[in-house]
Amino acid sequence: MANRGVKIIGMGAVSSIGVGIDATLESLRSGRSGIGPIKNCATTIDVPAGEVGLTDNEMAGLLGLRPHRHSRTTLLATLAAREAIGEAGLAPDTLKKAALISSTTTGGMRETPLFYAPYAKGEGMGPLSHAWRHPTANHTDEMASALGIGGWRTTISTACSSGANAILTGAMMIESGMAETVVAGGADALCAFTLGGFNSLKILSGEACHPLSEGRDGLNLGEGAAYVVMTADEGKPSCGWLSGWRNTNDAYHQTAMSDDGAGCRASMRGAMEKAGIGPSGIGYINLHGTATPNNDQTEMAAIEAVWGGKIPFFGSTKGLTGHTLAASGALEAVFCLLALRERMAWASAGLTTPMEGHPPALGSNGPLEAEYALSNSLGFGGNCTSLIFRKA
Amino acid sequence: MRILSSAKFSDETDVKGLIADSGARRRMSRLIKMGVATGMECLAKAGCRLPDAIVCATGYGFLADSEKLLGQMFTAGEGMMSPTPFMQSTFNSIGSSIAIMTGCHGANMTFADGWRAVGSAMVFSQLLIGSGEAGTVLLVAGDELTPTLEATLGRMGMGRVGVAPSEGVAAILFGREGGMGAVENLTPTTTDHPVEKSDWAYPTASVMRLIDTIAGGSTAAYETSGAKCIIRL
Repeated sequence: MANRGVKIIGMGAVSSIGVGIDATLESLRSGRSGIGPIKNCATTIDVPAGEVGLTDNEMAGLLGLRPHRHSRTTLLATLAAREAIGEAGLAPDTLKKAALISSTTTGGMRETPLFYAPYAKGEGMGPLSHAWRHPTANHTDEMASALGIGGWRTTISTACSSGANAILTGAMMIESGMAETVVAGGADALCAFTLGGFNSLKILSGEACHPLSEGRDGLNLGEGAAYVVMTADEGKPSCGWLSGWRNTNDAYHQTAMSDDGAGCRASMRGAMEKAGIGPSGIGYINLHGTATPNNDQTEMAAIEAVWGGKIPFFGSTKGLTGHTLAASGALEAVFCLLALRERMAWASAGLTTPMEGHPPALGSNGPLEAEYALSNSLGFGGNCTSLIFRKA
Repeated sequence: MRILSSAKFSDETDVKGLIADSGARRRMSRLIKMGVATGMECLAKAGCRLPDAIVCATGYGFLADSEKLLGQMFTAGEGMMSPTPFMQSTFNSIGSSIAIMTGCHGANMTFADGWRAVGSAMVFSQLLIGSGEAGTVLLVAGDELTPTLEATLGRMGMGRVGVAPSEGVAAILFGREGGMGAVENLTPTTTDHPVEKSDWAYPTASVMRLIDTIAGGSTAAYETSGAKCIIRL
């Protein structure tokens, strides 16, 4: 039996394709990519990326925060969460009791070199403010303080599935009765550290990425943040429902996925079981679709195993935003909610020649009739999370 | 949820016996090795070969590997970073290593949340068991002390609290039935500071306190940052 699930009453998004839901939707409609040469992030690695077109000071200004007091991850997170809370229309009293479940892979790592460079020259050196902002928990504390979110809070870090896992945890809190209102999502700022790390794994593309395409040669990194507000309250699910969720593990390799995508198959099937629907109920799949040869191959194998020959509209939006790490699962949750609201499945950005031996991803935005959309997030360590959203 | 077994990492922990694959053992960083060995020991004590889910907690994650990479960034540039410490610096690498070793395809969550990490992991374990998604959940908590963390916490005035920065790894296996006692009335809490002085030293200390409470043999209230409960024995 179909399970409506947990009500979503607010969403906010910041990425290279837009600051705010309206700008994001405009880019999704027009297929405008935010990937380009790196302008703001200090790095020697020469690859394109999806940068948010605001400086730290501009974001602090928009938020009414003092400049130079927060990491870029905190600023991105606070900007996106503020929009979600605003749309949900949460009263200050509700906000004081609301839980905050955030996620990040980098925390303050973009600014950590500002501490570490002088520190490396002598132990007494290095501004402590940057060391203080390094831990992942710091952005959660600072956004809670900036926005007045006063309930239980935590920080998840499961690599590239972090944002989806934060939303999943929030849904479980609501379902169990442990929380009445939850703000959940993820944020990551582009930084030299992750650029260098992904470069060492040889999975960065030197050009704008081509997910789900033959000859794809790697991913682009991006930055951003997205949050949703979930509630147990009566009232309208203005943004939609989170009907199904499941976190699994591929249990195969630290950074590569098994050939048959066992973990991803299990997360998609588990989420459908939770939602009480079968594969035919889903009208749009937003893939993790990073554009690395391994990810896209495995994820398609898993999707084909679940849907057989009748795969609904599917595509990746990484060609618009780049891979925004902890933000990606939350950002793509927002893309799915917008797809259901606008009755439109988003084209797979950057698609060239479809992958040989597989059905083609969606070449241009298509009419979405179905009630449900599914989003996959797959991370290092074989972490797989699938979320299923239902139209409001 | 019930408490089926627990383990603390110590000098006596049989790392070689618990991680039999010498190649895998050699590739693991120190904290991953301690976390995996402690998790495997905890499972072995309960006679559990395969948990349904794995939930990890860490205050600051894999600081030694992150620092190694930062060093490479400054000396040779980020274009010359090594892949192994980068992969191993990912916060969920203890949980994923145990998943690979045991073949656990169930939920695999990691809370990297300073003082609150352990309380969060307990709340999530309860959510998995309470919802019926998992019958057994292996909780592993781990923190490593590096010279940089020690020096930095010292500069931040940690000495004033009267405890020294430390490190440790511990694990607990939760289940639905059996075992030595129960976690009852687990409630998420909001705290801005560590509940006990010992938790200032390193976040995993609160798991050590939980294990000590169980060893105490009598029913007691237990609290850490983010969660409180009754340990009924």
